[in-house]
Amino acid sequence: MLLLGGIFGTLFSLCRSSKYDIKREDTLYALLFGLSGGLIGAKILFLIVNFKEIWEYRNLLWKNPGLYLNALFGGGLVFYGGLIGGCIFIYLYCKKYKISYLKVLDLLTPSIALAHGFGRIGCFLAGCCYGMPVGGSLGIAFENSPVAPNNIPLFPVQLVESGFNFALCAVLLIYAKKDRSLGKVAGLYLLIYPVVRFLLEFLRSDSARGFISGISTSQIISIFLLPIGFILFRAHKIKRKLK
Amino acid sequence: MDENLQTNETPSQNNNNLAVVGLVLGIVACVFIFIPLIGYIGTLCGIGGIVVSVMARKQGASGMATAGLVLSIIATAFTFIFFLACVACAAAGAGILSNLPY
Repeated sequence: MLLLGGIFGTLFSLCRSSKYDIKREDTLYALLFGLSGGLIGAKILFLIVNFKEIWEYRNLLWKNPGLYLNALFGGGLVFYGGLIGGCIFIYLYCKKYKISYLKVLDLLTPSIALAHGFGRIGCFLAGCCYGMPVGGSLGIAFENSPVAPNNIPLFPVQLVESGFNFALCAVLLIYAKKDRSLGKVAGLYLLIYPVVRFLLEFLRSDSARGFISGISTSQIISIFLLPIGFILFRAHKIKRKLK
Repeated sequence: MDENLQTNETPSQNNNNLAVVGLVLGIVACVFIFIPLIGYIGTLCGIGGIVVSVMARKQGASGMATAGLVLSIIATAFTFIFFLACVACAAAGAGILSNLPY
């Protein structure tokens, strides 16, 4: 589903690239760089989150290195790691080929929300990232999920986040319709998404997300991303003040 | 005159080298991605292939760089299908090592 989202997101960005005076070629290459950095970043954060288990079973590396490494590399990804890694790689691309980084970020941000929305539907279909057990008509029970507990009604937090991402994509598109100063669209995304993600994390009950002092890794990253969003959103005013 | 020739040759030679590296990485990625247990090598080569091929194309190389780029994209796309049960979160990693048969 995320692959489908990625394809739609790419087409979507390519269609919108003329609005930002960015060549389609550059948009595609920036997206490919972002995808590469995103995969690396998402995997690194996944390994950090699961470090305790990786360290605990380190002996397996010598007993059966193929199986051990395959389990590490094929285990999963963390969205926030992908977001950070992707942003770093896109920055490197923009710096190398002298393209406005904020312009590219503004162009690509709605596509990230779109792709993420599809990705969460994929989570629901696989049964991962599941919500807390609930009674009544709100809960959905999985019957043959390899990840989620079967036959227990769980809150469909994946679908809620998916719907929210699609709505966020629409909001960003409407906001970007008017000529905004650079960084505002990306800033708005980083102002809204971390807040909602922080709250939705309380509705999740999958335990393998990494916790520090009772709050999950994603919630900690959300706290750090919020001021970055604020700085991006007010970048033009901050620049003016600094001058 | 000789100096001019040398300075004209260096960038195109560089493009060609990058394009070749990108193509090789793309081919290696496409081969490894289908091999069980070491498929992640294909993913790494695919990512490297994308970066190198894009750089080659930006410097003016076409044919080989495009082929490398397409192969690398295909290999990286297959990564999503083959390896990542859950691609938007870490939840699928629950017990990634504790569940292994050893």
